[in-house]
Amino acid sequence: MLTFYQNIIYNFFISLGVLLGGCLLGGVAAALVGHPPLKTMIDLCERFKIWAIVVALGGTFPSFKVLETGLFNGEIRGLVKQMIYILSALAGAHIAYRLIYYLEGSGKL
Amino acid sequence: MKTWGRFIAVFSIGFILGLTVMNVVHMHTIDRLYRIQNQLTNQLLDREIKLERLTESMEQQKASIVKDLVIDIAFEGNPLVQDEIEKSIHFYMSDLVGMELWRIDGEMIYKILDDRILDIGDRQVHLEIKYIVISEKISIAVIAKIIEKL
Repeated sequence: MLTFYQNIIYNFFISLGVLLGGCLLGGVAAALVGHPPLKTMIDLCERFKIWAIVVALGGTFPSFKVLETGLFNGEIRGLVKQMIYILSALAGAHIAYRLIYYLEGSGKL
Repeated sequence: MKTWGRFIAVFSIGFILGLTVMNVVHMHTIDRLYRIQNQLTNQLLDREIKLERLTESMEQQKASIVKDLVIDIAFEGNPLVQDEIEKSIHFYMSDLVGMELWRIDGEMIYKILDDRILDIGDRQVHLEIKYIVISEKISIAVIAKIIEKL
């Protein structure tokens, strides 16, 4: 059984890994089939961002279940926990997105 | 069996990681090349449309004009060197395209190209004219040989 803090770190790194891995290997696939890799990576990054969060949370339904019980049965503690998990996954996905974005050279660090 | 499995796994992961790193290192260059390719394709389409319109207006004026220059090179060697030779000949003959047919001097073309020595990279190439056909599409056939240095 994972503790609250362990879960936060897991979610953060899973979403970061899903997005970074997906985009980097997607870039390899693009180079193999004759598409511009950098452009493909950025496109994939934008498409996968939400899915990386969903994967990190382990599918959509358990999270929604907790949100539902939190909202309608007054389980505020569970609701806040779930919100923090979602935020940590969101942060991981966003950092991966920014990394790919900087790699492309569109922005400045 | 377990050792083999581990070896295959390590090799596969290394291969994929290596492929990814190579891709990350070269992706800017690849993207730039794709961009240049697209730009050139667009430029080519644009020029083709302009040329088509120009040809139409020329046909209305009933003037015979040289429209194309075809160079046939007999060369035994690297195709890239052959392309360079073709580029050089195109450079010398590019003024012919667009000229009126009666103004073309076949002897002049012969004198320009026959026995000419081209510098391609650090090699010298000798040209010999096989034939010249002068019409709206000028065809020039040459035999190219690399001059062996002693």
